[in-house]
Amino acid sequence: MGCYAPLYRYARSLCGEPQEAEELLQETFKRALAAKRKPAAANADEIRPWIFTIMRNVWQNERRRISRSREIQFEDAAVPASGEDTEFGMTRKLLVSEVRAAVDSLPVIWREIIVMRDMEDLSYAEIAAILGCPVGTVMSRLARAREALRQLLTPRVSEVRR
Amino acid sequence: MMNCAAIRPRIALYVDREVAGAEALEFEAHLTECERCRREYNDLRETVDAVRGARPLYEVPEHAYATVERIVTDWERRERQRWWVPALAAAAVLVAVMTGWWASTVRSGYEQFAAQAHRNYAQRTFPLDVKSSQPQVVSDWLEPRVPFHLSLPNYPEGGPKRYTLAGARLMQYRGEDVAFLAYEMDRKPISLLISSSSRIMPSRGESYQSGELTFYFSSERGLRIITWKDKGLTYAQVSDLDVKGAESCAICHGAEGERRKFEGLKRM
Repeated sequence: MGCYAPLYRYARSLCGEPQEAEELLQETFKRALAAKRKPAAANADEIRPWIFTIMRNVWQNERRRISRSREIQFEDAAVPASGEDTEFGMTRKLLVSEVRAAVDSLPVIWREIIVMRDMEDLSYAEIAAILGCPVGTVMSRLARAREALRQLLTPRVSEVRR
Repeated sequence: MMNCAAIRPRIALYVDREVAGAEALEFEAHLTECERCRREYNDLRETVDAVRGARPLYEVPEHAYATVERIVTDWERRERQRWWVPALAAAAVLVAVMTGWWASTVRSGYEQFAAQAHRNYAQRTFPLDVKSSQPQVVSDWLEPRVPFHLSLPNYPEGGPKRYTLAGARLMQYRGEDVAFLAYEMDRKPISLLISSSSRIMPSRGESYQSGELTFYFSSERGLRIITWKDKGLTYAQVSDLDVKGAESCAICHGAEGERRKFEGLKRM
């Protein structure tokens, strides 16, 4: 139960829409509770990647129903248009809403890794386990996502600075 | 000492706290000396700090917790039921097994008890409480002492007797009073144990059906034991006569007028 909020936020990163995220959250809990093998309740380190993995699997299995039109494969992912690529120097003045909008505009495959790492503090190893890929892939994907965010946020930073 | 080529791939690791200890110290030492690496680190640091500063990126709806809580509660309730049903089933099986074992013990115990009582009678190791060849005398003595109505018939009715009543004794089997009837035929002892206990269910040995009655024939250490239940009473007849099945009945009830009693005896 304690991980429902991070799970909801991860669901939002996957689905985009709140209603779909709630449905995914509910389905995830149902699947997790019905699972034959569950991590020990006391072992929080195992529970978090385990249930995130379930959520991702549920989402993948039902992605046709809940997919977003802008969802694209990682290999084809492109950095969203960011306007002028000025020197990046982000400050705390940057509006939180701008960050949210930038993250939301990312392809889902980058958005989810940003949410897992920078929002929910999952380790590289945990993310790798959830995504079913090597840690090196996590690092490279995370680097690309952050670079995309940097490009998206730079023009806004310039405006804020002015 | 790490150089720039070794440091740059580790910048993200450091920002994400994936390096620690001596490696982290070495990384920090390099940043203090290398402006280019420090600038790269600061850029990434600012991006990450800005993103992390926007936490929580998505507000969790208040009703989300209630929904999840309901799912968990429902699951817990079903889980309790799921475990209770097999547990109850297991308990039921255990009770059935134990009851079967207990009933089996009771069954075999009754037959063994009848056989041992017969041996004691045959060996004259205990005296009969009432000695008489008159069914009415024996019935009158037993009637007030046993927890069931007992009126011994004067078999065979009207014909010559192949056996004679010797008497009876009041015995106790598993805390209940039972009647031990002693007979003799050709100087050989025949006994009949009668109990009104509902816990005793004859089933040992071969079974034969006669009308609504089922007779069970078994042997124990040279003794023939026939058990049956009729009108709430359980009978165990014991003898050492070397006969089987319906012949056992014919010994005592072989008179013309009584043969009909067991002519329909069929093995089940």
